[in-house]
Amino acid sequence: MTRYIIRRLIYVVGVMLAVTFVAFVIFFLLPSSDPAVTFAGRNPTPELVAQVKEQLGLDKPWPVQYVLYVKRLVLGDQYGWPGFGLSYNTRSPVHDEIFQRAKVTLTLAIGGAILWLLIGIPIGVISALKRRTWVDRSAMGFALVGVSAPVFWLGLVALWVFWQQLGWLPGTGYVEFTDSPSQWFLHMIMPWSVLAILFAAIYARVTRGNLIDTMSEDYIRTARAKGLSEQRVVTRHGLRAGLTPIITLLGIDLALLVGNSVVTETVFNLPGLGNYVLVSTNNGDLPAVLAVVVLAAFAVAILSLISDIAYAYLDPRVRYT
Amino acid sequence: MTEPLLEVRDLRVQFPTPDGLVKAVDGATFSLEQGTTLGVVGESGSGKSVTFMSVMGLINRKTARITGEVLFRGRDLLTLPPAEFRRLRGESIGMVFQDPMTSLHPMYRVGDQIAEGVRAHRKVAKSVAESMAVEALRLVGIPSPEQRARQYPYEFSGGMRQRAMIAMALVLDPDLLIADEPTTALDVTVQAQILELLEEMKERLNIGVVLISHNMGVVADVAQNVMIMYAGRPVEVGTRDEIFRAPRHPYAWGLLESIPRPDVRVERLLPIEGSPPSPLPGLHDGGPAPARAGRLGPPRRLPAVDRRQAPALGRASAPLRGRRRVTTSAHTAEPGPAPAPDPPPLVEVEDLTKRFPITQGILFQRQIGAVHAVEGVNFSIRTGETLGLVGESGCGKSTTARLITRLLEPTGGTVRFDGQDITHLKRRDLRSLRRQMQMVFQDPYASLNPRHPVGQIIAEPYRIHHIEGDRRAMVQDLMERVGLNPEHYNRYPHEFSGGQRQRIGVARALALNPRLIVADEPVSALDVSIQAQILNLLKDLQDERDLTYLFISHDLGVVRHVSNRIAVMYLGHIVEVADADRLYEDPRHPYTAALLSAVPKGHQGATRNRIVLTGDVPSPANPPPGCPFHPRCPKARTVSGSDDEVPERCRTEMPPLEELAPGHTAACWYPLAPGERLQEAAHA
Repeated sequence: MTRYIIRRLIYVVGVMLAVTFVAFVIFFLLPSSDPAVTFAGRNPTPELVAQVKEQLGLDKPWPVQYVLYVKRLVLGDQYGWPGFGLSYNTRSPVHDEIFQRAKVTLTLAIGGAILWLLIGIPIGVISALKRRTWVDRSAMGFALVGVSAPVFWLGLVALWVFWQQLGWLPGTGYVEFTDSPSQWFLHMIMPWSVLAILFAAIYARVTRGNLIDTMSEDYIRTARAKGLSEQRVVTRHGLRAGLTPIITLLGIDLALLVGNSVVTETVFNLPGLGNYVLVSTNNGDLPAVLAVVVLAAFAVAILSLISDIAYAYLDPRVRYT
Repeated sequence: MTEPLLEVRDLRVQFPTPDGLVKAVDGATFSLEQGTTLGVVGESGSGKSVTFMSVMGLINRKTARITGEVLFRGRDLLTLPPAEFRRLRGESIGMVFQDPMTSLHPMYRVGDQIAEGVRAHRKVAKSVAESMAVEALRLVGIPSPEQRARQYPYEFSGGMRQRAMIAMALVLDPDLLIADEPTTALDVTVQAQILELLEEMKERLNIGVVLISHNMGVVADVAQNVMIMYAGRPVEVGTRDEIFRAPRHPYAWGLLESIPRPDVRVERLLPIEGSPPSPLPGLHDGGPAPARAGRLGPPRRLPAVDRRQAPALGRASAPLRGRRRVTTSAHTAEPGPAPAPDPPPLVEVEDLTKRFPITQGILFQRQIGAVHAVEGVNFSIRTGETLGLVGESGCGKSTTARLITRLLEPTGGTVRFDGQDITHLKRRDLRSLRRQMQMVFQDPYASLNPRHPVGQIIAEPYRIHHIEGDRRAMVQDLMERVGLNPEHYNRYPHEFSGGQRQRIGVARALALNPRLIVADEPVSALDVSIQAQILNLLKDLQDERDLTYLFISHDLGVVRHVSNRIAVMYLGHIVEVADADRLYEDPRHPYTAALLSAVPKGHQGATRNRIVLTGDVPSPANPPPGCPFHPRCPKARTVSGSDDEVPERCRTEMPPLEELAPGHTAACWYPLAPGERLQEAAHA
């Protein structure tokens, strides 16, 4: 198992090198504007531009730049580890900015995940056990609505109702947990809920399907033949096998949210990564974009590794060597 | 007379469906005494499982209508409140299911699964329940039960899992054990072990046992009383001897006659025509069997037979036409219509070897071992004959078939077809080769594309090989030939029964007029009466079209019935080849002898001389050195005179196939002498 984890981690490094390389190539083959010109200010003199180029290392051929980038990434730079360099746009270190923003996105993703698991799984379980009854039908109706409702629409409606009309919630934006836990919570509850409704709908459907399949397995019949109570048959035998695949799904979804939470963050005005990558891409801010790419790739690779390990722990038949 | 342990009176189980009321069990009445075994036989859909699932309370009362009485020790289970019924389940009635691979929860340790059942019924400490589980595993003969209890099901072999299931059913000392097809998913030698275990448990614990099976032989081997079910009701109930000597109900008789048996050679099996009736209404109004009137007389109701009144349909005097039976006590043996002496071989296989690499690693795969699927196999198939290939699962018989048809490329050795070396033919040349060799596959449910109409499935070979002409007419001819209605040309596979689907498979294989047909377990997914129809069809086609067959099966009875010669495989090696009759009368390899003795006989006067092989078939990824059979070989132990010792030669050197008599070869250092009986190694 240890050897497997080490091998997978090496694999993660490979993936990140490949992803950053592709981002680099795209950036240099499709240049929007010369970053040095942008960086040099409103009225750049050729001397100033040349000086900036030298400072940023833009005077070297791009493969050399890529190697230097990787080197700084691995060894760190004057702004910390890993070295993400200086933003062309804000002229501040990407490092501090990105971790601050990653924190917001993670808060959004993890809080949302907890909520959607709490909503989605019970709905799926009840639906599976009460199959073909009105309970099942209304639960799956909810799921259909949840999947179909776009986040930007649902978010705006929620804001209008709970903020504008009812005044229950303080509005958009982000408040640090350390500043005011209650405000932090009140600001996050709506983004969490909106995100959770979408995913809860998906998880309810998946849970329902898995559990229906599991409950028709031979070993469920065996459990009943042992004289176990129906409750125990469902919780210990059905759910154990039926919910294990959810782990894999959760790993993928969380990882994807790191790079794909743009819409939710925009609607609720959260200073997260999604927002950041949008702005940076528009401004041709290569270091910032690269930093998000690295982080997102890392999240995908690590979370899928974690979910694989968790899966192996839960299902003894799965063994990695 | 004491009160019976289980008494069922007029049990009816009905499932309302959108298509009408399905009468799964339609009036079952029978009883079972403590300390006896009741064998329940019937084809799929006969209601045998549903009957006992109802006894066990495993039928959902919300979706099924259950009426009648199920008296267990005088208490009617059907009127018990669910909670009380649950207390009986596992405590007083234990159940073992068909497929041990899927009947244990894959994510819990075996010991914990057994202990869980204990704790559901008794308030005992976890450690007590665990040690009870270990004791139960010991009782059913699982070696080192303490360690085994801590393992997961996937670490158990099939036979061991079934033992664990039995341990689970017996851990609380129930009075009744219901075993639903407990050996169907197992190999013959393992099946013998499990049947022996069930019998031993019955004796030791003095419990009532219900053994449900589609296999008459299995039931006849261990049951004192037999009940035959058909279309939801018992058609005949009696003692084993009564039923097997003189079945009174035509269906029981038909069922017995349609089973190919390894000890008797029959020219032609007598299938029961048609297929078992659907339990849906409307399809049969008069009673359970008119659809199969062909042999059972004109459409009429088939009442259950009262043994005291009905005349015996003695097998010898059965009023049925076209029955030719040749028994083979060695002297009366009449060779089948064997091909002319030594026709040229159509297929020759020399030193054929296939190893599948076992690799490790994600990015850089390296080979860490190999599965020795087929190891240095030699044989030939003569033009016009049927060569049977028998062996237990994993012995390499299907791989051999795929190598001969070049669906796989051999690792070593040569395959010659009609004199031409086809071992490493290229893709393009293979195409023309395949016009001459076709396969019939095992599972007619899975091997036909459900989205193509039958006509298209059968015509597919014409399309691939660019054969022009009136394809529809050609296909319809074929359909007619294999006994399908040509008007069903545009129907889809799901509209056909299992036997009809296998006919489609046969028609597809025949489309190109091949010379060789490789049939890989063509009847093992079918009910016995349907099996007989397909086997007869294959025989007729062979006579008519001069076909050569390689017939693969794990069922020794089926193989004997169709084959001229038989090759026995064990762990990738061919251990014995002989004429079919010779092999069965005079097996020379200890494995063949053990395999034959393990087959449930199921007929009158069957002397029970079963050699139960211990242990499981070793893994082909890690085959034992020397003779692959030596770790389980009873003969090697008699030679050495000790239970734990095996002659060195067996342990170190693979014996070659040697001719012991004309046309009879075996690979064994110490083959059985002609007529010698295999002695079971004395157990320590």
